[in-house]
Amino acid sequence: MPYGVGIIGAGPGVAALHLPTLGRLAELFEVVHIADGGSGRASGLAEPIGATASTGIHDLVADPRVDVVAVCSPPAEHAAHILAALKAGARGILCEKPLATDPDQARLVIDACRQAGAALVVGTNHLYDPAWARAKHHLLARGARVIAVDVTLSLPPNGRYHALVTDQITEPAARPLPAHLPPEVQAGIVRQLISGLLVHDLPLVRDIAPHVGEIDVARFIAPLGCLVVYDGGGMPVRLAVVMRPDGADVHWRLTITTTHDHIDVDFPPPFVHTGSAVVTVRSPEGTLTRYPRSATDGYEAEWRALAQQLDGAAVTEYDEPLADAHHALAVADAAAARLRGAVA
Amino acid sequence: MTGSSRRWGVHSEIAAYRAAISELPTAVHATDDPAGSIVVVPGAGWQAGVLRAGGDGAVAVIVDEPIGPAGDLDVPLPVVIARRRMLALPELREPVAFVTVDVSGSAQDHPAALRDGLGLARRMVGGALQLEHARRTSHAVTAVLTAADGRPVAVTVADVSAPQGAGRLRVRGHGVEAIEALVDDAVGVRAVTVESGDGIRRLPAVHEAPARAALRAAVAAISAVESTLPDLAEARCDLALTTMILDTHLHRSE
Repeated sequence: MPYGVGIIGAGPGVAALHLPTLGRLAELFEVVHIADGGSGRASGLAEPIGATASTGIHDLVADPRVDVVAVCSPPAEHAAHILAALKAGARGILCEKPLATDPDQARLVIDACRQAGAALVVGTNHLYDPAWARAKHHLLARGARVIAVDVTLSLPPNGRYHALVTDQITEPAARPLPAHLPPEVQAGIVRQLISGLLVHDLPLVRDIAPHVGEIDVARFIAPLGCLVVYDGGGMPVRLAVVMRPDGADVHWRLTITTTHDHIDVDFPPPFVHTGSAVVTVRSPEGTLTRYPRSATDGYEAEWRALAQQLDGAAVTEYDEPLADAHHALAVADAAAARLRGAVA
Repeated sequence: MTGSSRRWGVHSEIAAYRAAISELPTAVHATDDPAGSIVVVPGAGWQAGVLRAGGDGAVAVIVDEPIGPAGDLDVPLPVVIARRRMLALPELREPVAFVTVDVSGSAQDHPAALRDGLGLARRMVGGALQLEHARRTSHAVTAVLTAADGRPVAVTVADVSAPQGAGRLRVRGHGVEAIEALVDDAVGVRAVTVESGDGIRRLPAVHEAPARAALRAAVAAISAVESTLPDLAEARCDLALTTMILDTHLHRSE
């Protein structure tokens, strides 16, 4: 019997991500309820799949069919919605990233989940991508010292990929940003890019470089992006992202350089289900090893991970998602502060 | 192919150039006399070599893979700077938003690889770069440079346990179009690719030996009515930045 899922939120992330993903996992989950925040979009998403639609979270968390709550509301509301779901007796939570927007909230949420014994997954899908497990296994088996970590992301508009997984989204026209943004605005954008987009990769970075030391460089990149370089504990960590208006397919790569080799993890575009990331290892002798791509992508894998926790087949981690949340916020806050200081 | 009817003498002790001479039989010939010849100067200590060649009456100089700062070196004869990693880049329809330069390999290879990585980045952003920040850790150097319009170039140089001559240079410009220049000596790849909404285009492979291309450039420069080779000025910029980055403990321009 599949677990009943209630989804808080009815935006593109639900229409293009969680509903299509859960549609692939019908043996594990059934979406029974979708709630919007007043936009009226929930009914349009719920009706085709025979789910209930409502506005606000009260009806959803009180729905006895809901075993699992997917928190896909705006980030500032995540903590409150998780707490409400737990209070109503939810057995499991899948929270879209970020878990919370400040460290205290993150701790509060994790403490509540732990106390309730609730299953918990945060939607940083790259952490669950089977390719990451392969890359980590390679790192551990080789035992080489990591000397640099880079994440580089160049992303066209999401609409290109939404259109491949749903016909329920009307993409809004892109609004061009002003040519010159005030420093405070730039700092806010950089913080959001880190905590809302690069957060997909920061748990992976934290696995390798848990330390967040001095921010060497924090820069806003036009039209919308950032470059951050910081000391990850004796090894440099470089994060670079640009969201562009059009053009080439997504380039989303984590590169780990060790004393002996290079590991490139090339992630697929967001939203689509084309399999796992691709891991390529280059040895000093010039041997290139490309690991086979798994059919399972990170989105499916994160929901499967939640199912395993609910089944009792996997232990729910509480300390790790908390540490991930604190790490991501530390990077985001430090970069924003550096940017304010640098451009003031 | 050379555009000149005269066969120029080439004075070089570097094997690659002696081989290249045999691949341009109607344009050049080997000679032991630098006077009136094209003189090939090795990269280590190249500034003194260029001055000596000029004093010996050379008609052109080829500097093979120079390392170390150029200072204010200036000589009244064509100077070709042979940089085998400086792959030709196509014009893009849209400027790149930022550039990443990744150098890895044996530390002995870093100066030349970084020099050309910075040269490729300079071409990708279309102008000179200024060093904003650099830091050295135990096995890596990171740096951020900026173009005149503020677009950043992020550099990582990593000391990897690799044999000398087996390093990798990967320079990528990120934007509506992406351009990547990859020179991987261990794998045996020199390639430029351009990614756009239409797909990925790989530029034709360069099959000509770098030494032969340098010899052709030197012959063309001698034959030109007025030689305007940008090589020395460009190398001066790239070598100065390379030295600043690799010699850094901590550099911050702010």
